[in-house]
Amino acid sequence: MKNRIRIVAAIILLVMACFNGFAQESRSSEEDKIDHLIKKFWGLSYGEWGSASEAFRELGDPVIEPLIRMLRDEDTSEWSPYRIEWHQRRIAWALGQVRTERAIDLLIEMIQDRTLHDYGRNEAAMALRRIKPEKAVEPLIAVLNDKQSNPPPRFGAAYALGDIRSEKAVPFLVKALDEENVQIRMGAVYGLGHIGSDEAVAGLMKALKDKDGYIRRLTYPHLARLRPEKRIEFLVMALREDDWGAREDSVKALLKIGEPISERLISLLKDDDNVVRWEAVRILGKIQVERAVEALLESLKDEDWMVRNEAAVALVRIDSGKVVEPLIRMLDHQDFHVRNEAAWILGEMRAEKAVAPLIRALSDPQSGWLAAMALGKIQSEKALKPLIRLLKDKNLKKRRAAAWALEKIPSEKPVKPLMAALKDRDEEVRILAALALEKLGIR
Amino acid sequence: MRSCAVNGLTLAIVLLLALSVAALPSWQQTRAEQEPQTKEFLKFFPHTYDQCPELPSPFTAEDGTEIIIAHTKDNTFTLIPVTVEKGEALGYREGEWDKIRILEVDAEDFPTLARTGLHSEIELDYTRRITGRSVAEITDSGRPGGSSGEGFMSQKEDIISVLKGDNRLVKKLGLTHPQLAIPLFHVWNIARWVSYNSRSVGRSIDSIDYFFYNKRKIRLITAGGRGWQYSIFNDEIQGMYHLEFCRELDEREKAFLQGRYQDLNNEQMADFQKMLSHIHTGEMVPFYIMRYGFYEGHTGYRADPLAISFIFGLRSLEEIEKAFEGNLNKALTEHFTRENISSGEGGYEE
Repeated sequence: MKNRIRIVAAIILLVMACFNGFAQESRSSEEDKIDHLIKKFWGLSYGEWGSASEAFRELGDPVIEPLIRMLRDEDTSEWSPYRIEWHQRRIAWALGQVRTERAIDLLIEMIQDRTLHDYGRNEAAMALRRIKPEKAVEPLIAVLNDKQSNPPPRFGAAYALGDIRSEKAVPFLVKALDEENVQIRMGAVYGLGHIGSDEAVAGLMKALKDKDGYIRRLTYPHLARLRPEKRIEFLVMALREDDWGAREDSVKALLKIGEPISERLISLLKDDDNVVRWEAVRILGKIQVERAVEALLESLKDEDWMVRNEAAVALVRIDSGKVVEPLIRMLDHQDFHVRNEAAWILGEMRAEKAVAPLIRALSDPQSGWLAAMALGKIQSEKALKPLIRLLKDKNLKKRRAAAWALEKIPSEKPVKPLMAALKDRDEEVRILAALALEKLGIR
Repeated sequence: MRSCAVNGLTLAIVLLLALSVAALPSWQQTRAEQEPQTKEFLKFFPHTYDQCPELPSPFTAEDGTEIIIAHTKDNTFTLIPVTVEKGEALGYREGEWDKIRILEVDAEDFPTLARTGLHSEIELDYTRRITGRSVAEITDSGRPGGSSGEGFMSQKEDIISVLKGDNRLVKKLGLTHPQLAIPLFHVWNIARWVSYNSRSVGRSIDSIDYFFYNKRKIRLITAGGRGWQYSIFNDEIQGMYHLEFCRELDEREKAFLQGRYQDLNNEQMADFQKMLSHIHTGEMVPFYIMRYGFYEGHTGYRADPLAISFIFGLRSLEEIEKAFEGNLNKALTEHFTRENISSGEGGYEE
């Protein structure tokens, strides 16, 4: 019996010893893993951090203690601020991957700790953005309001509050729109835009009056998304911006909407603001709205050259047969700008119907040169004779235009006059005549 | 008799000296010169030479490789291949931008530029769109605060006036746009070669002090990244790096300018000389010059044609001055607005 007891005891002891050994081994293997991961992570460049994400998540809480030790116990007195920043950023980022309650608590501690590097604290806020824990709201608001802190943790807090979508944060984010620092104001716009409540929208309306165009630029897309019924008006409002980026973003958004916006855009062609008129023409031309052609023809008479230019390009893009007759009539318009644009469009559209009117327009003292070039573009043989005559015109631009146009029309008829033009007193006429002859194989 | 002996000795010494002087160049011949001049035999940076290779710079080897001689900050010399050619992809941004279109000219919009290397003014007057984008859109995007904070032209300039203005300058110099683009491509190629073949971070060209170009010493100041910039035209051109280089005026050139422009005070003269001898530009500009004859308007990134021709020795200072007859200062500073570029009788002139 005693022997049996001894044997059983021995077995139990043996099993316990084995378990102990296993436990020790697994503990040391886990420590090794953590050690290995941290070493590896500290060797990665910023762009490679993502590759360590899963390993931190799998290891969970046990990885936190070594990270805390690295944050609190490491002697950094001899380190450069740059090294300290990246050391702390790595710790915050790694905690953000662990995502446990303990990790969240530590991140909240980090963002509040004024002894840490500004960007170490900012990285903690970025980690909280990804986790979105409700319990971080109050501390994040406190950081956002903390004027003793530099901007990085404060704007980080604004972004995090937006991603957590905390209603409580709205008044503080609205207040942050008055901050001098532009990054804090950018964070506030982001936060309000992501919370999206009525109060947040009211705050965003305030941001539209910001002195910095970039803040306004960031605000419009939020408003357009949050108030779909007023989306188009917000986008149109952005067209009035003096900030190029805000206008450009709005143009892109309106282009995406496409045809349904065309009536509103046509109404803008008579706007008092020349930039708005120009942008409206630009969008209509890119959407290629055929029913806009009449309005675009009117835009050729605009006082602003940019509007006239854009309208001409838009009409060529739309390429509607409907415009040929009105354009032919415009060749007799009292304003030479209108006559010029009409001739150019007819040429670019290769409007055969316009050949005779364009030939008549060659005698126009201001627009004759453009009529000549349009005839060159149409490549009509009927234009050869009048263009040859134009080579001897006393108007320099007409002579240049004639030589240029004759090069475009494949015919040997103008060889002699072109040879004569090689002696023109103007160098450009001579060059263009030589190029025309070269095309005919005559050097 | 004695004087005869002295004379004989003197003659012998002179002969010996003459022989050794004649032998000197072959003595000093570097390896670069002794071997056939093809890129297989020439050793390029990071290889260095203790003495300056006796080659012109730029130099075109038998196989067509264009080579520049540079001086390093370690007081050695090095050879850098800078061939401007249709070449391999650069791998910028998923291969969007490559060296394949390096020699391309926008022949669809500017057929005369493609055929002659210079714009036709009448063609520019006719132009309402470039690369399918309206002149207004390009101008709007190119002004300060547009697609670039500093802008591709000044607030009062527009793309057609800038193209026309620079075309007139280049024509007066008796040069063409491709001729002016080539030296800038050479500098860009120096920066690329040196940075890709050295251990420096980014596109640093720190190890190069200056390079030789048509017997001029051109100092490379910097070539670094400043964030991506997209083109104002509808093309594939984009850039990250800026290039800065200069050549010091020699005493004769300084005296020449002082004699011609006596009405300028010291500060104005210093600015004038800097504008002529110093270029800060972006890596998009050589492409722009080659493709559109566009040097940027009057912004901090302009590569003025006069400065290019002066710095790289395409024209001497006297030749440049002769082309502008006392108006060199004005030619360097005057913005290309519709008012001062207009040729009247139509177009968009108001």
